[in-house]
Amino acid sequence: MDAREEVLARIRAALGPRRERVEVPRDYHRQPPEGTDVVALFAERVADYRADVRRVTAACGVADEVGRVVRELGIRSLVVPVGFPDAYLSGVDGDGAGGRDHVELRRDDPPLSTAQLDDSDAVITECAAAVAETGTLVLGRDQGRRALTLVPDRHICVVRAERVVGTVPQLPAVPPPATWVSGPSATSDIELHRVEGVHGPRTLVVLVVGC
Amino acid sequence: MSTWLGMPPFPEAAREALADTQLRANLRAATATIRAKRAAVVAERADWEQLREAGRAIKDRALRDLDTHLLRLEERVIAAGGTVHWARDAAEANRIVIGLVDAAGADEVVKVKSMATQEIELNEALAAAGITAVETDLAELIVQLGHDRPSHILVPAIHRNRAQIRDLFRREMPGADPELTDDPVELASAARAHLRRKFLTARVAVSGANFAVAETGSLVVVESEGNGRMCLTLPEVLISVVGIEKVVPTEADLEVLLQLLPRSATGERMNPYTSLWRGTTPGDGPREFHLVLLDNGRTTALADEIGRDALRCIRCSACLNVCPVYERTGGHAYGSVYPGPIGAILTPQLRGPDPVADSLPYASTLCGACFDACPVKIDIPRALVHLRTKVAHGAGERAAMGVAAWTMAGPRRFALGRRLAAIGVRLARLPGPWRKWTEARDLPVPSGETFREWWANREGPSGRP
Amino acid sequence: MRVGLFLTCLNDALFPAAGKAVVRVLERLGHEVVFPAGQTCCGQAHFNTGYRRECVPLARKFVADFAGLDHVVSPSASCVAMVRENYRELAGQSPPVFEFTEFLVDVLGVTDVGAAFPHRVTYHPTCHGLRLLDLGDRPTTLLRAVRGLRLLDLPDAAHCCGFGGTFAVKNADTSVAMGTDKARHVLSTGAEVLAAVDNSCLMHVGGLLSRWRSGTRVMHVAEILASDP
Repeated sequence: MDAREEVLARIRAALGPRRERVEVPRDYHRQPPEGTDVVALFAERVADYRADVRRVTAACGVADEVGRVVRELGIRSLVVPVGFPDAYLSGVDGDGAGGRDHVELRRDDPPLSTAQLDDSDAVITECAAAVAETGTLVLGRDQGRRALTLVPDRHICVVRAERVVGTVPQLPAVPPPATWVSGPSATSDIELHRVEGVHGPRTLVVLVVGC
Repeated sequence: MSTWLGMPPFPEAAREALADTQLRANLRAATATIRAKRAAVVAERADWEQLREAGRAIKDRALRDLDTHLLRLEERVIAAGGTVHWARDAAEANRIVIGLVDAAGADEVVKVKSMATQEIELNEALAAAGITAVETDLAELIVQLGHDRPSHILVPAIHRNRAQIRDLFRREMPGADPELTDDPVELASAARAHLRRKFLTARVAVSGANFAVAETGSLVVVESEGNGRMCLTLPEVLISVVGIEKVVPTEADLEVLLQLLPRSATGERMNPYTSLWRGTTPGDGPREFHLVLLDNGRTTALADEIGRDALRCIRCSACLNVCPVYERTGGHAYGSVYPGPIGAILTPQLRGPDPVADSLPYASTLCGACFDACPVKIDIPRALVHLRTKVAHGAGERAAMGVAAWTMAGPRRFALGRRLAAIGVRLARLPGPWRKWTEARDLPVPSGETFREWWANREGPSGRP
Repeated sequence: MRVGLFLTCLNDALFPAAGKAVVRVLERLGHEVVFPAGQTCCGQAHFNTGYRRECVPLARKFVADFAGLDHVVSPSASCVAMVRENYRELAGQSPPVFEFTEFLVDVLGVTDVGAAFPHRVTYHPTCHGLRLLDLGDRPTTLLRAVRGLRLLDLPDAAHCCGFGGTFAVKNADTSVAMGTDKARHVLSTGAEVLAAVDNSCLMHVGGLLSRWRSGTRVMHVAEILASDP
C-alpha cells in the first residue's frame, strides 16, 4: 500500500462505518451593530494598528493627497501595479526630467525584478475590499503581484469607501492569491509586546476615499 | 537546534524550571500581557460564544469526514497546478522534502514558522542531508541562533526577555551591530536586515499552513511579520508540510476561523498578514508548489473518540497563556514541541507511550482555564482525565488506589480508614508518596468530636441516621 | 425540606467543622437534614487520576446511599461537580446534588443566613466551583450579608491554587509554586481568614499559610455562615 492509500485506510478505520453528521451553526454576527459608520470604524481600526490613515472626501482629491504623501515621505521611486488608475497619480511629478520633486514611477509591466522592488521607495495600490471591524485590507490579483506590496518598505493603499464592509463574513469572494493586510508588518515575539515593522512594509498609508 | 530526546518526565523537568528566577519573571510578564490583550478583544465580540461553537463544529465536521475532504483538497490542489504528497510519518515527510529540495538543486531553504515541521524535526533531517534551513520568524530565529528549543507554540522564545535577545543577537547574528540596544524595535530591525538577503535570493521555501480548504484547494498562512509572505511569494519552489487535520470543508469556514485565531493567539482583532493561495499562479509567486499531507500519529488520535478532540486545535496558544502550570514551568518542561495543556493531550497521542508522554496528562490541576479559553472548545480537562486512564500506572500507585477504592466501598473499612487518616495527619512527615505533601505544607489536625460522633450525640430537630 | 448531607470523605476524616456547619445553617433555616451513615466517597480522586474502573462501584454505592432524596447538599464544589459531570456515565444516573451555597441561593432563595463574623475575610473561588458549577457570586453574596464581615478582594482570584488532587503530590513542586503565589496574594489582602467552598484547596493553601506561621487561617464558607450572631 502506498502512503496515500495507507493514510486514507487509517482514517477510514478510525472513523468507522457510521459517521456522525455535524451541522455548523452560523448564528454569529454577519452585520456590524446597527448604526455603525463602517468607513469611520475602518479608519479608526486601521489607525489602531499604527497605519497612517487619511480621509479624502471626494475622488478628485485623491491625486492631491497621493502627491502630498509621496512628498512628505520623500519617495523618489514608486512601484505602480498594472491596472492602477492613472488619475490617482496626477499629483505625483512623474514626468519631469529629474527635477527636485521628480518621482520615478516604476510600472510592473514588464514585471520588475525583486532587486528593483527592493530598491524602490514605495508601492501604491488599491484594495479589492476592506473590513471595518478588523481594520483589514484585502489585496487580490487585480491589485498586482503579491511581491509588489511586500518588498518595498512603504505601502500606500487607496481604499474606496464603497469597498469597505462591516465584518469578516461580509467580505466578497476574492480569488486567490490574496493577501489580508491589517496594519504594517509587526511582531509580538519579544515579550509579547507588539512592535511594528519587521519584514513587510514598515509604513502603511491608507487613503480612504469617499464617505 | 537541540531535539527533545532524553528529556526527563514533566515533574523533574518542572522542578528545574521552577528554580529559574529569570524564566519565572519572563513568563509571568509575558503571559499576563497576552492574557489581558486577549480578554480585551474577546470582550469586544458579543457573539464570541457563537463563533466558538461554529469553530468547534467546523473542525468536527472536517474530522468526521476527513478522507473525503482530503481527497477533495488533493484534487483541487492538483487542478490548480500543485503536487500533493502523502506522508505516513515524520521520516517519510522528511524524505519527501529532502528529495524536493535536491531536485530543485538547492542547498538552503527559507522557512516560515511551522509546528508540523518542528514536530517532524525537519531542520535536523535537512542538516543531515547537507541542506541549511533558515528560520525566518523572529522568535524562531532567536531560538535557532541560541541553539535552543522553542517553549511556546506561538511565541517560541517567550522564555527570553529583550536583554537576553540583544545579547544573543550581538553574539550570534553575523554582522550585528555591537552597539545594538534591547529596544524591541531595534531588535526587529536587526532581524530584518539579517534576513533580507536570504529572502531575496532563496530558491526554495518550506512552510506549514493554518488551514487548507477542501472545496477550493486554498491554503492559508496566518502571520505577523511578513516573513511568511516573503517565503510564500519570492522563491521558485514552495513546499508546505501540513497535518491532515488542517483541512476545513469550505471557504466560508475561514470567516469563522480567521476571526477566532488572531484574537485567541496574539490578542489582535486581525493579524497583520494572512496569505491565501491555490496551487501556482503564472507570473505571481512560486512556479512549483508541493503540498505534503502529514499523518504522523494523527490517525491514531482520530481513532480515540475523546482524544480526537485535540485534532480540532488551531495552534493559537490561548490555553498555554491561561494555564497556571505553564505560567510557572514554561514550555521546555513538557519535553515536546507542543507544550502546555494542548501539548499534554496532543503529545501522548501523536508520539505514543514513553516516560515523558506518560507524565504529561498529569501536568495539570484540571482547573479548566484552558477549556474556557479554547476557541474551538476542546475540553482539555476531559481529555486529560481520559488519557490518564490509558497511560501506564506504577505498580505501587495501582495497588494504593485499589486499596483505597476497596476501603471506600465498605462503610466499616472506611471507618477504619478515617481513623488511620486522623492519626496519619498527626505525623509531621507523611510516609511514601505523601511525603511530598509535608515537605512544604502542614496538615490540618482535626480536633474535638468527629462529625459522626457529633451527629450521633447531639440533640436536634433533624432525623437520626 | 428534607435534605441529604453528602459530607465527602475528606471532610469526614479531616474537616468535621464543615459538615457540622452545613447542618447548623440548614436547621437554623428550618430544614431537616438526613445523614446516610454508610456514605463514603464520590470517587473523584480515582476518576481524576485515571482509575475510572475503580470508580464505578463507588458511584453505584453513592447512588444507593442517597436514593430517595430529592436534594443532596455537600460542602464541596469539586465533589458535586464530579457527581454532576460523570455519574450519568459511571452509574447510569445523576443524583440531585447541590453545592452548599448554590443550594442556599438557588433552591432555598436565601442570601442572608443571619450569621455574624466580625473579621476580615478574603474569598478564593475554587476552580470546579467557578468553572464547572458556575457558582459565580453566590458564595460572596452570602458572605457579604454576614454581620461584621469585611470581604477583601483577592488578587488573581480566578487563578488555580495548585491543589489539583493527586497533582499536589505527583507534581508537588509545581503545586507548591502555585500555592505559594495564591498564599502570597491572600496575605497581600491583610485578611485574617481565607474562605472557600472546597476544603481540599483550603488544605493546600492553608498548609502553606500554616507552615509559614503566617497567622492567617482558612475556613470553609459554611463555617462562617454558621457563626452565631
